[in-house]
Amino acid sequence: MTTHLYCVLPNERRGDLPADLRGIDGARVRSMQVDGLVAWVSDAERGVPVSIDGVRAHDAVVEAALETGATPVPARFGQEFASDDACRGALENYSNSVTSLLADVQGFVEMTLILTPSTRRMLRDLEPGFPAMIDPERPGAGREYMESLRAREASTGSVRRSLDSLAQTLTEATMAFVRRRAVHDQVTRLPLRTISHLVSRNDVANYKEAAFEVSSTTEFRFLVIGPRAPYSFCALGNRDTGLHGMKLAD
Amino acid sequence: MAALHAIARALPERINADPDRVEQGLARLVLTVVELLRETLEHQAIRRMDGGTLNEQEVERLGLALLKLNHRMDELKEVFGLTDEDLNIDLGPLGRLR
Repeated sequence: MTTHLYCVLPNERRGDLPADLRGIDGARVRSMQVDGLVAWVSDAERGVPVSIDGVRAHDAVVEAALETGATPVPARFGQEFASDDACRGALENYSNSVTSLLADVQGFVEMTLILTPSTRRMLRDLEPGFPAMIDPERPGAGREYMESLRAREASTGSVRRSLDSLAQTLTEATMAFVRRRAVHDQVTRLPLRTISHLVSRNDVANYKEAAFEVSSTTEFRFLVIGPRAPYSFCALGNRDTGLHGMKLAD
Repeated sequence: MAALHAIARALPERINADPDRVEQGLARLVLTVVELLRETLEHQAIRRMDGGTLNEQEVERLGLALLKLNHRMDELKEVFGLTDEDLNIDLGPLGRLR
């Protein structure tokens, strides 16, 4: 059995753990005091494979922490601690950074903007054809392949420029309510932009209103996600970017 | 050289030595590098075509070679059970390959 860490909260929130809160695989979530912090943890089987259900269960516990009124610092999903002592030791190693981070995010939540081409635009970009579908035995196949590569590059560049432009417009529209900004790397082949903002809890409605005043177009649109725990603002000063929750271990 | 350093940073710090999966892990590493080179070649080929430094026969020959390389890569990915996303490495400050 190992210990799974969900998040940490300020010590004064030690009594806020909801009774019978369940985490990964239905395990009971319990609180553990570490150096003036409270960590929410549960038992977990060793080597549990990463799954969507696991990520959802992890996030549900972090969301429950956010609902206490304090802002938790979420742990990155997938870290495995051999025991409560190992988890406590890892937190103690970063005690100053975690305490400082926790103080820094109190009163704030994360809002995330996801910018994407519309289905109509994506279909239009497919029109030049899939290069891989060209039959190499057909006369002129080499020229046809080169032309399809050129068309694909041109449409990709145009999509990127349009998404950058929309991102800039949204950044300007919401700037007054943003304390910090994090831009996520693209992780799929789909042309997306993902930008997270740290926003005061009191400004969430204003932030949304400002974002929705920017019009989506028939070709590009955006989603506003949040408020949620500040997963994208968890850098502890180690090698990790802190873009997916705080990372204390492999 | 800078690109190689970027790839080195993107590779996992630990290799999964599970005997049942080590072959796929190695294939993924090798094909990732090949894919990076293939896409660089394609990009360069388009630049040369647009720059007018290739005659019609050279465009056809180059295009055919790249098309066949593309097909060969698809076959290799299928053999090792890999997807495009498996080869979409993180080049650090340069972003993702695609």
